[in-house]
Amino acid sequence: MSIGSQDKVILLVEDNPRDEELTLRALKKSQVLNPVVVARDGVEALDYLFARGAHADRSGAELPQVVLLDLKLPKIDGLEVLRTLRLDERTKRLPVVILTSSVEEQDLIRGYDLGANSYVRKPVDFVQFAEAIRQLGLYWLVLNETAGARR
Amino acid sequence: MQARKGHGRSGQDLADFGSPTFLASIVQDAADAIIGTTLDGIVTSWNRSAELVFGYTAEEMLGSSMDLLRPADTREEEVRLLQRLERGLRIDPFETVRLHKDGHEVDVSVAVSPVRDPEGTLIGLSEIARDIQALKRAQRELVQAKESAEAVSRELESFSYSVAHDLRSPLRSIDGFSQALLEDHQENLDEDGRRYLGYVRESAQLMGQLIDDMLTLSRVTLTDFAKEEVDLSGLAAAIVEGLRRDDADRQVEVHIDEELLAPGDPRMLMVLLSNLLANAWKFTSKRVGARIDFGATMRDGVPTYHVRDNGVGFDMDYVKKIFGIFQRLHSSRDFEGTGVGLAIVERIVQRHGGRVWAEGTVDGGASFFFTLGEREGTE
Repeated sequence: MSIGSQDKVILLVEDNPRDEELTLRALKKSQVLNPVVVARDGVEALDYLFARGAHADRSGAELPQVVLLDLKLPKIDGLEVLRTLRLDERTKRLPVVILTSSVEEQDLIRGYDLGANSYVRKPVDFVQFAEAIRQLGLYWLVLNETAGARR
Repeated sequence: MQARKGHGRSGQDLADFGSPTFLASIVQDAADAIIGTTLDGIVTSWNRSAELVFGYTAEEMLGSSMDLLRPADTREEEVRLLQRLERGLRIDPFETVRLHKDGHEVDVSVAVSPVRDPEGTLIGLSEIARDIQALKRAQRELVQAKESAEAVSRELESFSYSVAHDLRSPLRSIDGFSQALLEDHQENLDEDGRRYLGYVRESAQLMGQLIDDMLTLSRVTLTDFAKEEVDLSGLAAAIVEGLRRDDADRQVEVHIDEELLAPGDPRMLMVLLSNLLANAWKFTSKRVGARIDFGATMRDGVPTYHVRDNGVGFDMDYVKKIFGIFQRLHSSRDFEGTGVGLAIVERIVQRHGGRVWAEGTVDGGASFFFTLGEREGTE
């Protein structure tokens, strides 16, 4: 069974190329149809979402269905990206799932405080990782089609 | 030592003990500086220890003012104290700073008492000053040691944090791409190749577990202690439910005493019980009719909790090692593990001010006992 749709993008914000590839592979394994756009740091992510800088041509384009956001990012870190998104009228309700190695409860609490919709810890075990991604996909792409309005 | 029991002293002897010469020699040879002054602070007597502590000889000080010894900023305070004495009030020993003849400051503890004439009129003061420099130095060193220990502990915390991030990420790649090889390139691998990749994944996962366990251990040591009433029975039941869910094939009889409540840190106690129950679960895995008990009894008036199983047990000869970090009494061939779990258990019990110990026999099961708060928790 495939999930999601081909016309809604998933934005993956991830600086580690290996993790990027593993996440993409896990999404593919989970039969997620949505095209995935990858931003490699916080600035790139914000540029994409606000259609500015290198992504100025996206002006007026749709927001992704869900943002998978790593916390430890070059330039602007994940929590800062999240804070910026929540302060902007356009992206206030954009579903954001934090995807991180961090096991620090502080990060988790700060993530939720800043308005993260979910928090997924990247496990070492790939099978668990793929399962986490699969459930994520299921929730945010299928069960939560109207994610925009949900918090 | 002539004055033995049954041999009374003569009247002559006792009078000697009260003689001015005798009293003077007590003062002269006392370990503390003993200084007599007039009410105006003019020195009238100065013993040998005063010479040692302050550097002035008796000749230099007799007739001089005590102000020689007082740094300007303490004079006012001392005058105030002396006024209390004049009003007939007692003053408690206090700590202050005095000046040595060579100019350096001397930390002293001072006791001042009034000197009265036979009619009871206050005529002077006697001051006993003890050199507490060594004590002060030790105190300062202690404060410094505490500060640097705290700095190290903060450093350790941030170290743990980067360990969590930076070591897990390459491990995830090792595991993930091994799995990718197994799934996507099966046809290019023979049986040995697949087996080796399986080992690679196993090792990466074990290392991931080790990192997690070490992080738990450091968190248990570093985090603040929250004290509340914790439902141990409820926690244990939830943990066992999780164990059953993850290992649905196992048939284990579990008995949990009801309504075991204890004051403690709920999250730490969760970790404690998880470790003990998961251990019991693991070490009964080769037992038909496996059984685990969690309960409590009163021992010497202290609630003593136990997690008991009928699993493989252990040799009491090695019981001392059982709580040591990375110490394992079973080969990883027989039972998986990192050797950190019981070290975490011990740390948690210690933070609750309790005790933990183990009893077991080879093939006869193991019992882990712990108390919480025999004395007050550390925080």
